[in-house]
Amino acid sequence: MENRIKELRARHNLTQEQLAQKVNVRRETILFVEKGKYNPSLKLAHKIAKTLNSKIEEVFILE
Amino acid sequence: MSKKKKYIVLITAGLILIALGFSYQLLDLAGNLISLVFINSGVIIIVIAVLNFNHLGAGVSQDEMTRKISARALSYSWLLTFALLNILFWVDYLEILKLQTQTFLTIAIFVMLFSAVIFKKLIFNIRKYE
Repeated sequence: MENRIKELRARHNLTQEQLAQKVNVRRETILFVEKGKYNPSLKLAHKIAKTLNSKIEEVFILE
Repeated sequence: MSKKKKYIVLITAGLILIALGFSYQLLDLAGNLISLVFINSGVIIIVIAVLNFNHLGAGVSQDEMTRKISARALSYSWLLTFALLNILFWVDYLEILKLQTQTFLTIAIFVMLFSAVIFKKLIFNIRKYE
């Protein structure tokens, strides 16, 4: 699953650490999600999308 | 109760239980079994507290990826211990080695404890470098 977290994070001027704090996970989790090495749960995907003011399908792209 | 306070309370409770267990044994106040129950309970409480302490620094104790990795590491650890105990059973049954119950239990405790920690690190590193 691809994602646009890095791009949207940059647009919102958020570091990985800040995004991690907002969605209540560790920075490593955001790092792995960004790299596509970890598929987040629906709950976390929703939180990330909400924090980045986007819809889930805009953040995560199912290949 | 804050995380740090909870951690301190757990460690203190564990140490008190261990001390009680040893005092009972030294003063011969209760049977051997009661002392052992106290000591083992204390050790288990301290192990749980130490495992949770990992998350104190990050401030996130419910991180889903960490929980998934831990769960997977625990299942691998359980499987490894199960396989090892099976091997030890047959080694004992076929009288290749004569093992006592205490040896079995000690091996199981240490293999479970250390393999869980090692598997957790391994799975995390595989994810990191894959």
